[in-house]
Amino acid sequence: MNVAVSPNNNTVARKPKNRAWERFKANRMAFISMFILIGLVLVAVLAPWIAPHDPAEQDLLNKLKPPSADHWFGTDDLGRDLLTRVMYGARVSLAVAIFSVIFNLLIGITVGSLAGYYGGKTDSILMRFVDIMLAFPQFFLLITVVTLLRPNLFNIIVVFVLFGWMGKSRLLRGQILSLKNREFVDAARTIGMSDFRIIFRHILPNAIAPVIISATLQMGSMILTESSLSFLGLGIQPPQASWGNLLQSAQSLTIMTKAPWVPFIPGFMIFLTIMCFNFIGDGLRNAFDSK
Amino acid sequence: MLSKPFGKFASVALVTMMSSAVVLSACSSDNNGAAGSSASPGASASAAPKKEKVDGGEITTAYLGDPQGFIRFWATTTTSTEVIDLVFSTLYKFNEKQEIVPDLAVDQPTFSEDKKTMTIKLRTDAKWSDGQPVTADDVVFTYSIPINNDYTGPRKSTFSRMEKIEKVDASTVKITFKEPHAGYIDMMIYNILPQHILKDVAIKDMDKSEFFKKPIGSGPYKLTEWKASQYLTFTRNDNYYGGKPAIEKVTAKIVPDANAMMAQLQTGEINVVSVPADNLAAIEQFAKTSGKIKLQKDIPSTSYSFVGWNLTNPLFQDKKVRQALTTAIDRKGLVDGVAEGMGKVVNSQTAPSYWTFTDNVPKFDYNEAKAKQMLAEAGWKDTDGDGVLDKDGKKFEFEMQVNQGNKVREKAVTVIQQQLKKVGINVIPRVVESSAFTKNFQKKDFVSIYYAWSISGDPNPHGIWHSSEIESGLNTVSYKNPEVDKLIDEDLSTFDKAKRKEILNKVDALIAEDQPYTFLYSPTVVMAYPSNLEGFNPQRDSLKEVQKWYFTK
Amino acid sequence: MALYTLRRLLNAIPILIGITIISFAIIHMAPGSPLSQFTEDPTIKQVDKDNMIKAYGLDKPLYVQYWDWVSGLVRGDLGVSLLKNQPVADLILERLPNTLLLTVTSFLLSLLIAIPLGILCAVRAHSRLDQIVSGFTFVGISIPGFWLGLMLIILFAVKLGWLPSGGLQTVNADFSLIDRIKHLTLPVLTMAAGEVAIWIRYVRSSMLEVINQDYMRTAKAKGLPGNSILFRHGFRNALIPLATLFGLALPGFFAGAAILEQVYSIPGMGRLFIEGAFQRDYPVLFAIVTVGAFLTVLGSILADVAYAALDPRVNLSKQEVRG
Repeated sequence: MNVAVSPNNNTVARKPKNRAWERFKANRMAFISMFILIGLVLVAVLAPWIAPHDPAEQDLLNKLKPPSADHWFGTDDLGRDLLTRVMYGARVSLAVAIFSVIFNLLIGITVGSLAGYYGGKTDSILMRFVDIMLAFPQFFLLITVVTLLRPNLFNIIVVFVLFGWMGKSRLLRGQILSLKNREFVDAARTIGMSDFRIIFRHILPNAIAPVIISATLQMGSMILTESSLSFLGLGIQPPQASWGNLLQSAQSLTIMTKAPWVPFIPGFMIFLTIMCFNFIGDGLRNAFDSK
Repeated sequence: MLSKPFGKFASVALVTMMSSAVVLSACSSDNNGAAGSSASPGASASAAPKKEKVDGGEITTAYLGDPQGFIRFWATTTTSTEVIDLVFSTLYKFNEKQEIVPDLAVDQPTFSEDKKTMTIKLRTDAKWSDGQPVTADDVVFTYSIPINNDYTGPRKSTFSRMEKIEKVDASTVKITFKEPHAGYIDMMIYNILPQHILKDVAIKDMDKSEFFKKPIGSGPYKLTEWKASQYLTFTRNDNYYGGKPAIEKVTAKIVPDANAMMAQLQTGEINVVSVPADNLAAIEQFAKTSGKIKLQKDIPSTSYSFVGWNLTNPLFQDKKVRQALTTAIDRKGLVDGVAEGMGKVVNSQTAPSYWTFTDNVPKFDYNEAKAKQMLAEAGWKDTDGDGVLDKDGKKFEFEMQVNQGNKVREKAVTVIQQQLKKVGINVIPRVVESSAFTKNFQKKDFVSIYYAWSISGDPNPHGIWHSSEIESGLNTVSYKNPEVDKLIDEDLSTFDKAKRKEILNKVDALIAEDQPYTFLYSPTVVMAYPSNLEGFNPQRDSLKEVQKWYFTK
Repeated sequence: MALYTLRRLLNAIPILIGITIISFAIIHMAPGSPLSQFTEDPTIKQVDKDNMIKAYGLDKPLYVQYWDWVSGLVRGDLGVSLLKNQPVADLILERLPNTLLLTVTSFLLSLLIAIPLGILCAVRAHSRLDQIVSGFTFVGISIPGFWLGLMLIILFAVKLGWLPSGGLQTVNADFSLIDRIKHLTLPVLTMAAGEVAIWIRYVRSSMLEVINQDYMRTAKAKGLPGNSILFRHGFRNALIPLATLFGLALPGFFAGAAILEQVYSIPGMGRLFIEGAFQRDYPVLFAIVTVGAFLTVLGSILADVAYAALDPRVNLSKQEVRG
């Protein structure tokens, strides 16, 4: 990776992977974020063993109770324990967020790089395909699909992956169009580096920033959208919890004014997750940046 | 305008969050409720005589969506019906018991010996708001529309038994039926249209005509402005034959979000509105602290919620099992816990406010132990000890559909799921987008379904319970009881009300015994009114009888 | 470039036709129909529904319906809404100005805030200021619009009584600019809040990227004054991802913001689409989907044109195949 591409590149030749890991570790925020995220994932995975209550168990006489010793986060509008539901909700929301974003990035980056780097016909075909996907009446496809598929988490991730990558490929392509004729790429080309290596080692690290931002933003909206799709009968079904549906079920003046913790807690979890991913994304990008 | 790099999903997201708002048509019934009549403490239901009546004042209410237009032959939504009633008069109106009371007509209609002709006398003092008199010609003109071949609206079969309408004299009309029709009252509530304005409009173009959106009527109010999707304003008709209304102006704002509507009630931007269950606590507190509004609770509705069991499914073919299912569901708990007390448990298919209602039907009150025992008697036992009942190697497990966008129903389904879990039945809730949901219901594409009927007018339940309606009608649970069929047919040709009540009470008892549905509850409505408004009927919701309302000093 | 743009526009025609065919098929295939609203009324029989289906022309084979619709479209006739009994074109013309007012205003407002803040954060990356602003952007991204909207209504309309809680104008009042501004303040703020957060993230990152580019460092090393470098070199390049995003956002200006239009009772395109979608008002849906598809394609063309204008090294007209 240490081809003399950039004049400022004066790093000592060490194994690239180790170096990347060290750079990542040096980024304090990224490092902390990683730990928080691992913590969240652990809670999600262990929810059935560590959650204090049954997530579906209702107590209609104790609705919307404020946080207490028995219910640390209070109870929701059917008297269910909010802490338990947030823990179980993490399973759904984190799974949706992490898997959808990873696959979206894979598709978006592949299509965007191919289109941007090779240009010409490849670019035309791929980008027209992106246009078609963007203009697709997704709502109607979804409610049609719902009639054919059983509602579950997997299907919701499939839907997110199918329809979530287009923006990223366009962003990346735009970046690459302006980068690919730069000196350092020409330099790499003249020394006979393979296209794959040029894209991965030299172009992507310089072009990926907006894509990563797009992915972190998307993560937030997917956590929220997941619950909407559930309402259409596509994803998880009640009484299963997700951060999105916890937040959405709090849409009433009564809850917002009398039990503000009900929307606040899932909202905060979403905030925390997005922030962690953002810092990790930043950290990763810096770690692999060749400059 | 960059909707978090996810453009398209955003629009789906929006869609689904829009809750009841968009689904104007579909079953708003959980917000419209039933039975009981006690006025809420502190709210003086009808006028205290010492207060001085004010001439004038403004009412502002809100609807979730626009009305469709001002002709009932085409406009079917509740919102449309309400605004039509402001602007137009009809031959008769339904009262809170769903009996007809005269409006433009004088007294009840009279029938010939063979019941094939019906004569209606009309008032002579009614005027269109442009000053022309309302005559028998207008009535004949109006009722000729739905029996005309050019009419393609949704009400053709309501008038299918009517052969013709004739003017007898300036204030009398005669309707001839193809066969005797005891359910004629459903035809009596269509708004009478002015012939002198509409005579040159072709019937097939009427719902696209200017009149459909800018009507001239003979009712208590005149439409002054309709800003699509923003508001409609009405001013009182000084020449109204029922006496000049006290309230001068009525405004109906279109507020598609129920929470925003409740916020507007608090800011005073609207002052008359029904309060949905999930916001009741907040509004009650506002009423108490501000003193600006008062709440009228327990206003009956003619709707009821139910869980329909698809009787073609082997799980539900045993009557005993269906009775056990009902016994296992705490319906009172459902009303209190989910509907915030806004409802009354029902046991059969007639809403409690109906004139044909009877409480004398078999009841399956909540009793967990008894439900278990009934299920055991029907052969359902937990032989493998997994907590779920089974019989012949098959688990008692099924899907329950509910339509998207109605929070009360979505919650109710999870409550039912938890309750049935306690007796060893595993319910899998499934939320379905509304339009697809009604299709599933219509096509019998469900195992069990949570739904509600909002019924008005004639009490004959042919459309829902007669076995001839299984194929293409709304008997979508495929309920078939020859005795019920016979009674329903008999009622169709019975004109004596006492006799009809007797017949229909038998129908109710038979259906309650069979439990093709688990009848849950009939929702009741809570209305918010300005604290100094009087004259409203504590049995009626929204703007009904607004011409009798008045402010006090 | 003009030639290139023209070629792209011509290329767009078959794509648009393809999209309309797919949309037409999918929308019709989706379960439910404009008549499903009648299912709850037992007095409306199957015969009535059949009559109405015939009257709407929905009994014809799908390709005939499509052909009818396309030939209408060519004549400039978008059909009549099945549920509102009004020509679709009129409905859109009635709603579009309201939506544009909301989307364009909040877009401009958010750029006005986000660009300077984003640049500032990039220039002083990792400073206290950057951290605070970043924190706020994450809050902005995590808060759903419906929630922020309701909170602002509760605060500014219900508790403080400063602003109206919804609608476009005071009922019965004549149009006044002040009144309109008052009504639009909360919706525009709500919408801009989310957008500002997003744009700041992008602007900051793009600028940061550019600042770290070699030529910027070289320029700095040469002693060129800071600001002029930033603007002459830096910002133009930073605009490339923003151009992409603008292209992606273009259909949104037209489609509106359904959540906010709902919460704030604004009769705009978003609500029109949502109502149409739920009630399967086919003519309305086809019109909106088609215009949306056109704008999607247009956005993609505009973004490409913008790349070339911003960065002379981008040359799209040349059919280059590299590697």
